[in-house]
Amino acid sequence: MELVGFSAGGWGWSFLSGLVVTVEVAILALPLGLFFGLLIALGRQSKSRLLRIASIGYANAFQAIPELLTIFAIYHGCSHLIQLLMSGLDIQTSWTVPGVAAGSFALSLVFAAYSSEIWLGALAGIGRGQYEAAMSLGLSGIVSLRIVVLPQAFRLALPGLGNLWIILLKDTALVSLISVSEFMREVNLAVAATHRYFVLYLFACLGYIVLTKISEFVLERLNLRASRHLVRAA
Amino acid sequence: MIMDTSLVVDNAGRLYEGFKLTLALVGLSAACAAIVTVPLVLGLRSNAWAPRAVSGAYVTFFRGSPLLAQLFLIYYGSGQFRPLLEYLGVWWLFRDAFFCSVLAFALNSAAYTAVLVKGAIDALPEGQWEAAAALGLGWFATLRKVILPQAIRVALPGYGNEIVLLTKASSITMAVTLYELLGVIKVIYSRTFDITIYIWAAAIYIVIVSAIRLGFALLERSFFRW
Repeated sequence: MELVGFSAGGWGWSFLSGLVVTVEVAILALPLGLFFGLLIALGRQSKSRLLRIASIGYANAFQAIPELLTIFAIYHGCSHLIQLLMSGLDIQTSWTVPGVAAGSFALSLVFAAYSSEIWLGALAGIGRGQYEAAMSLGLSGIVSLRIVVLPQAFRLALPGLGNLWIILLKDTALVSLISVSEFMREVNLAVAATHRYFVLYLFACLGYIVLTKISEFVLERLNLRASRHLVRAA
Repeated sequence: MIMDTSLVVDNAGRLYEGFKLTLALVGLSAACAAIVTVPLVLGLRSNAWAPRAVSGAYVTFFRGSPLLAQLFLIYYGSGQFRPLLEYLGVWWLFRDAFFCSVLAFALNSAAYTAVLVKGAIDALPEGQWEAAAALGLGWFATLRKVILPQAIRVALPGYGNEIVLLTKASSITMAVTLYELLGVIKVIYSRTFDITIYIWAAAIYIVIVSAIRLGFALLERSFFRW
């Protein structure tokens, strides 16, 4: 127990800071992943053939590519690009993109591909009448999307997005392989120092399970809140 | 962008080795997962609380934590039980990264598959069981002749997804010194510092996953033909 405690010789503080970074990487991936996923979903229903093909291609590609490959490609690719730009300006640098930024950007690209499926389903769940009513009120496309369709679609999308959030949370363990000091890496460091392999990796699994259980609890609350207008009085 | 094919051509042999390893990992893990799934589904659907609790805890553990952590737990964690494993005569298995990876993937995938199959069986109307009972079929005959043929049709698309996820997940074995397709690609990158190899890698994975999806689409068609 003193191994994972907060006293001297315990790894409690590094584990805690690792957990914070884990949640940070996941939360940073969320806004772009959600927004970009919505754009992809809209693109998939677009009238333009080109836009449809591009969106479907994006969604299929990023669902097929391993998350780890996306992470490596973004991490090394962005660093490479910046070094190329800098050498164009005659500045020699070996600067690399911070792992947290590259990791959450890569995970948000994957999240967008999967969440576009959820958004697509949610948008399909909104009746035609809603669009027609918004149009007859004289609302423009973007305004009707923002104040009529999305608030309703969000409730339908919430359970699916919640599942994706939990997958995202577990996928953050992969960014330990590009040396981000998140939970998994902190555990690896502790293992390297103490050689207590089994206990520490078991502790790592349990740490993630706690995170996913907390997420499930919060998501359930959010779901209840989002559909509170549907609950009838007993 | 000009794609330089020499990068792939020069490393074709290495890539092919990695591809074969990926295939072996996925195939073997999926087969073992299918075996583990059976007792899990029975446990999850059991009327007694003890099997339900055990399989429920199993599913929570393997679905609630990252596969990478589970792989580390099995590969590195087993080293601490070396005397016991040597005594049991299975140490040579746990020393092997390939075996540990297959074990981790199979145990993990079985948890997801069990939930999938349980859902498919639960989705069948109660009348199916009652009708089978009225015909005098036993429990096993009901399962084999009535329930499973219908449940498989419900579960098949989800199972295809699970195999795709397993294929993608197999790319993490480089963390335990096992260089399958993505591992080989990472090695090529660190030798050449040529990022186009990642674009090739993405293309290769898209082809593999498309092939799996096509295979399952054909399989589904043969199950849905009536």
